[in-house]
Amino acid sequence: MSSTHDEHGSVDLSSENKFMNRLIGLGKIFDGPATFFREKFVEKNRKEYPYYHRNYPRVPTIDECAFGDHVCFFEANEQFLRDRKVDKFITQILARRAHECYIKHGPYDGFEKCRQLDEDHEKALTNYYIKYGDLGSNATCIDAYMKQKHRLIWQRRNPEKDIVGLEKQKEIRKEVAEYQKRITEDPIKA
Amino acid sequence: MIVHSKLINLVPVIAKSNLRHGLKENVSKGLNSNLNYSQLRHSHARTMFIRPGKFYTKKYFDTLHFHFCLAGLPFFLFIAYQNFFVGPAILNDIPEDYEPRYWEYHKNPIKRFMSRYVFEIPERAYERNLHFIYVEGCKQKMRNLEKKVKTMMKENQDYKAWYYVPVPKETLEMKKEYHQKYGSLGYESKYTK
Repeated sequence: MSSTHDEHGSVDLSSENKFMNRLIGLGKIFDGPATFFREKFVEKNRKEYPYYHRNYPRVPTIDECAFGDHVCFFEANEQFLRDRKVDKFITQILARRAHECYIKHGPYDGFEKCRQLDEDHEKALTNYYIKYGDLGSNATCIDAYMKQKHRLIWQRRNPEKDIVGLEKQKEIRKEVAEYQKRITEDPIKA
Repeated sequence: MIVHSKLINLVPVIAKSNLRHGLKENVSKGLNSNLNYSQLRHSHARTMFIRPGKFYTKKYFDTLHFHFCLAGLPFFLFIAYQNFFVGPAILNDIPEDYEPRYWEYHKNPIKRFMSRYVFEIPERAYERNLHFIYVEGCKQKMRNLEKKVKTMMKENQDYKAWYYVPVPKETLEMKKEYHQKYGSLGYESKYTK
């Protein structure tokens, strides 16, 4: 069953497979009475009313707060925690996309076709770790700020070293893909 | 030991009575099978119908009915009414020039009701917390300043505020004499060096 999660709350239950289509039809037998009841009796007596998602305005971050300004620190900390949650969900969404791509194509083809999604997920994870990693769950915005400070100092002292290694990963993957191609074309030679 | 006629066989005898306790005689079966050694009063044809007890089943259904009527049915009706006639809210984008009220951020109508009438306004609580943080910060700063001033007065001994102890001048004179006699250490230092 091919399902896409691009729209919130809607799943595409269509496929070219006759067997799957018949199974889906079987599910619709249970669906029929419920939708009938809902459309006739329930939807007519209800009135639609809205609800909204909270829109938090941006406040000054910790590097713009004066020393001793506890109110500024409190608001910056709240913003930091909200941003951390959002970034966590972003990494999860990217992981889900890559996983679905692998499910669709299989583990062999997915290595080529899901390369972009894999890279995006990898980048997001490394950036999350750079910013929030190893601080713990009771982290404050000051901890992250100090971590950034130490990282920049280290980068200034060691300008040529690259501990993240994203480009190296890319090269490794390319080599593996080329090896796979050579193997399939001519197993004896390569 | 009473022997009855064959007419007794018309009466169904299910339970032999307790009056037979004590009477133990060898009854050979076959020829004497129509002998009944039970005591009967020939009053009516009804006998006790033996069956399992009904106490526990009745008690179980009684308590079930009690709890259903007290809590199950009212809550079920309430929830059915909520889902038929009211329904959950639908997510919309915030329109421009409109600031949603603090209860309009919830989806469930019960949660909306509680946040509107029972719980306090989150914006108000937030601002109040910020006020308390500010006030405590101010107090902290004043206390730190006071500590610093106290230490400086202790070191410099130039103000009468914290470390001033009024002393009669005779003690100071005695101290001066002692220092002149023995030195500020209390002993001559040339013997220790």
